[in-house]
Amino acid sequence: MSNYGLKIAEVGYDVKTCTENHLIYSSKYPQLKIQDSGSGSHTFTNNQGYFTLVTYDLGYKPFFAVWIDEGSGYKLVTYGQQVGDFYIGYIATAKTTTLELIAITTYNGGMFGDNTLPENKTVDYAWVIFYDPIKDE
Amino acid sequence: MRTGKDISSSNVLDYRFWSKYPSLNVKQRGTISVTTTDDSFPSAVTQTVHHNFGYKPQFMAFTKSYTSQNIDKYIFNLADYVNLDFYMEFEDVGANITEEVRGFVTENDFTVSANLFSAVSGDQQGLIYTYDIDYILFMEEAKPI
Repeated sequence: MSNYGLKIAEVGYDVKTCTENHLIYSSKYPQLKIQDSGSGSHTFTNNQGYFTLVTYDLGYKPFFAVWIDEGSGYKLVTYGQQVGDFYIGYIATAKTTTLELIAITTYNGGMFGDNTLPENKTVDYAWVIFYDPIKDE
Repeated sequence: MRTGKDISSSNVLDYRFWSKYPSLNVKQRGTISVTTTDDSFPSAVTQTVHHNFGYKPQFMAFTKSYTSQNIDKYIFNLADYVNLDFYMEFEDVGANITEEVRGFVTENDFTVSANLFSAVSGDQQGLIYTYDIDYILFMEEAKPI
């Protein structure tokens, strides 16, 4: 038998004939597999700096997703916005053994703006990393 | 089931797979490269992969930013892989650097765009940098479930 496997279709669709966007599962394709997840809160001094969300020993840099909540709901990182004469942004980055969250505050108000650094900022965060490596090797 | 959990559980978090809920199936993955220009007031450069799914799939994409690779500021040098959409502004030696790397899907294409420039006194100067963007396109359509 050369054509075998498992498919599961959405309710109301014939699993034998429907297009793949109406499948819930197909063993033809691998699935992203969650390795770990977590959440917490962190205070950035002057809204700058970085910290480690999680360490791992996978031997490669994994797919990930990070969200932050500054008080108006979780947003997917990378996320940033203009605040006064500063651009304030957040970057999540996967290294070989760590997933990190970086807060960046950069002044762009020119000669006549207010370059007083922002106050300390506390954000809630949530993250997930997958077993699957970013680089398909 | 997760180890130690009962098959009769009604808690979705106790399950490794439950056909009641869609999972993310990896239908296509690869790397696409896009190189920015040194034009004055540069436009974003785009590159496209034809997936030909016939619908708009969910996706994830990652790259290494110019910011983290080339600017000698301790905070930026920390970054490695970052996810799209990536947007960052920062001041560097009197100039404001803007970096923007985005991705989107249509029914048959996955397209990435990148723009990178330095702005001083109303002028914009493009910076040449190649983004290698690793992506996953999922079997699941980007639609409400």
